[in-house]
Amino acid sequence: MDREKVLQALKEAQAEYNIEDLDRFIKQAWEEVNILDAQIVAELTERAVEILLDQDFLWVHIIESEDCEEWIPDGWYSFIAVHPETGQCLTFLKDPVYSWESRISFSARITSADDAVDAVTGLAELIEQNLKSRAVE
Amino acid sequence: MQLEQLPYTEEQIKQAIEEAWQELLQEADAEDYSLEEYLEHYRKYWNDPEFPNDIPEIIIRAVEKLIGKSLAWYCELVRDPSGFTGEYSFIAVDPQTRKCLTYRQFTFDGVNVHYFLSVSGTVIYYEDIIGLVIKLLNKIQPELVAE
Repeated sequence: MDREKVLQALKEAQAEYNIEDLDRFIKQAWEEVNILDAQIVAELTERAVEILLDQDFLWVHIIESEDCEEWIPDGWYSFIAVHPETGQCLTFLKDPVYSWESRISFSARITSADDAVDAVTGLAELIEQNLKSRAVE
Repeated sequence: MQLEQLPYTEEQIKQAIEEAWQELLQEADAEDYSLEEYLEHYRKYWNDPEFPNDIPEIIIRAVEKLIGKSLAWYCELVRDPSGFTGEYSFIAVDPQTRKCLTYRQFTFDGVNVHYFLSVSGTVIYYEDIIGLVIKLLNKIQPELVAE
């Protein structure tokens, strides 16, 4: 995945959410344990993937936390994407060694703009793989 | 609970839940106690991070036993600012077709399409587990037949 294109997609998504400094916003969401801002980080990541792949998807994101009681985010996010027309899970990943160990979510730690670039890249690549495998089938 | 649309009796569903529970006990090498007893503890301690929450595993195993197929799952324990709400949200995918089996879309007003990726339900009592297994089967079983 071309890093420049990923950066551009993130920039466009950032503009849609009226965020001036993405790195500062993500770091603040992480350092201040702000659930609402963490939601925006997740949505912005999803939107950047959609811009990058020029397609809309259905999403579920989970803001992971270590503490069930206090719900303190630990910086990890899980994303599940589904194709709106076919209902195909696009974040599906079959374990190459243990065939029964399938995963349906993509997990990424996002505590900085650099992390967001990695998350968008990984998520977009996984979705592309799933879209291609479906096309082959 | 629309059990009549499924090829299972309530007894079969209860049996699958019991088998799932016994499997978990064996795997944990735990002493023999009933699911009802477990649920008594569950109602007291569900927000305790140390409490081993086995509810999603029981439900997933029971569903898989009844449909005779392993699926790929994601289960979210739904929370609000006060902690875990008792609600579980399940997403199931067929590993062969990669189809999301809990996905559905419909309109309330004939105009706007609403999308749902998960099947959710609150579990407090034993009957809630049966209800959630039936709810999942009602969505998953027709999708598997259609495949």
